Amino acid sequence: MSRWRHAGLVGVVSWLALLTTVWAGVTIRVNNVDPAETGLNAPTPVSPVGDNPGQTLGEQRINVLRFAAELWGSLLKGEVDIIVQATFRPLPCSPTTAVLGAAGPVRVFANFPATAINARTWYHAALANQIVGFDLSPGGPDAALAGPPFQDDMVAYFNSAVDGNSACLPGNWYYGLDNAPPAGDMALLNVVMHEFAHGLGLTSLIDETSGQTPLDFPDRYSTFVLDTTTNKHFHEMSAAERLDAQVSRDTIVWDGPATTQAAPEILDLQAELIVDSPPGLAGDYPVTRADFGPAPSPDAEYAGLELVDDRIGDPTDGCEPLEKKLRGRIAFINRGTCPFALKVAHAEAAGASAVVIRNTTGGPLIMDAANSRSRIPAVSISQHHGDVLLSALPRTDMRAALRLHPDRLVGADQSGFVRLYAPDPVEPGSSIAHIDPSASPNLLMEPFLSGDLDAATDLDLTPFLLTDLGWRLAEETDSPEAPE
Amino acid sequence: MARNKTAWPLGVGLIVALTVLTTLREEAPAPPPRQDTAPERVAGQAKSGPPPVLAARPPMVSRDGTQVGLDPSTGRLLPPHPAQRKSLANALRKQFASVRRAPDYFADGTISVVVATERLNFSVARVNERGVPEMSCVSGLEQAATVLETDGYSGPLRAEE
Repeated sequence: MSRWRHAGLVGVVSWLALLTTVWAGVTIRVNNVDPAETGLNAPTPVSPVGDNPGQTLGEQRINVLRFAAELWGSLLKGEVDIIVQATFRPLPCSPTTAVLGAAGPVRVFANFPATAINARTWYHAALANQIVGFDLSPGGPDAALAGPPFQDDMVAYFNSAVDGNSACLPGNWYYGLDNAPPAGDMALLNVVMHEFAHGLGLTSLIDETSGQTPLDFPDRYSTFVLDTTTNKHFHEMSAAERLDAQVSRDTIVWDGPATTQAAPEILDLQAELIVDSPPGLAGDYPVTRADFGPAPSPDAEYAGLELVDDRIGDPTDGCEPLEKKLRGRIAFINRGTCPFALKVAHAEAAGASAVVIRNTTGGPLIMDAANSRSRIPAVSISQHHGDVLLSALPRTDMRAALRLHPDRLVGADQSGFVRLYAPDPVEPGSSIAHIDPSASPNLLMEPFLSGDLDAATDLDLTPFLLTDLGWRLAEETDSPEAPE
Repeated sequence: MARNKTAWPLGVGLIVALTVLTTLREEAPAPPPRQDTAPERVAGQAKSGPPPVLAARPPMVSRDGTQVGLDPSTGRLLPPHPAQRKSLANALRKQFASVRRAPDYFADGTISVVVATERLNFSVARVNERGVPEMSCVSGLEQAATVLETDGYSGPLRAEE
């Protein structure tokens, strides 16, 4: 599979070599606005960690920010330096919740002298400068955080209270550049790469509470955000329509051409459950692949679909070994009581060819397992669709096939447009500024930053999203596969 | 590379908790920026193992009124209760309160708006039921404040059972 990977920047090219490498990308500079002895200047001695040679806390912090700046700078093309104003300072925190950081553009521009595409449309400063070819807010770098004269292009805050502080989360920031944080620690680099992408343009200027934008101009990002139910882009909607559309699960997509073209190379194929008998239930049922076990076959191999009976407690939860041999049939199991991996293991031991687990509390569900050795494919089915099958299963011989759809992608709609995250009701993390978390594999611009991300080596769809906005990519990183 | 985890001294946890929460309350909205007054700590300093045990005592209240979560029987730091969560959310709102500025109009027709604290994306973390921080990104100050205010949140689509 061809993923967008950096050309061996991590592990192959050393940190020092990276600093001296001449890239043909854009220069992204970190403007450290922290006072002496604090934040990015913290003098606390530390040992080098994970390819980060910094010997003080401040050095390690700023090394991560600079490394992220180098990574994005090596990928993107531009003649105008980008300045990221950065700070490490205490942000709200408790033993169980915390704000880790925040980032965004300092300024946005419209009607700047370049091409017709910017008329009455907001562009983030970093991108607007590259389009016009000069610095639209010259001077700086700014001396103060988020203060006049606002000549920097992006601003980024990170929470310094996380480090070594039991009153602020159980984990620490991990300042290594190798994406190998100890269990429970949080890799700062992934967070910075994600937040910098927002600052480079991957976010809307729409106010989530009013649906409005500054001066009622649309922003560049919104011009690619499409509601497929109304066939309107967000920039074509009224403020009220935008508010409605932000909670339109499964119908809000990104229709930028570069991303849509790249999606089949990056996203996994979607699984589907095809029921062919009894006739009254025949049809294709959407299912979600588990994050463990093998993928279903591309071929439709029909077998009986059987509700399991483990004879203990809820007999359909598959939490105990199954006495009845399933002999190649597809096991239908209810969610609950025990881990998914155990249910699948019991079905596999009984001879099942695949497992369908019915979600008992809502819609699509990505089943996770830390240590599964399953050799049969497993999928989940929403409560709604699962109920349709469950109502008939105990008394009906049902035949079904679990297969990979030939061209539908996990995280894209039937037209191949990548879904954005717009759940109904609104949930924390919901935002049209993120890709829907149903996408597989996990993507950098999903709202949930999971541990299997490695933004230093794999940026998946993100460069294509930026390309749609108007960014050009540097040729040197145009190789999709990294040399190992 | 393994991190240098050292024991967290008794009592320091309380000071840290008070310092953090108090500092947050003292943060001036940006702009203008304030000095980072929290003491810097050694990265990787001990967090593994049980939370620090402090001498049993009544719940402490910092001078700004923010309560520090202490179990009165064990002295351990506790998750924030609803009032503390609300206090955290309000601290965030105060810290990132934005000042709407008039657009800048340039002679060549360019228009610019400063959105420095108005259109931020926030990375937030919540500790899941296994005690592991889960990171997510939300758009805008209010969504971030909501995450701090609500309890028991984790990714809505992914689960192990």
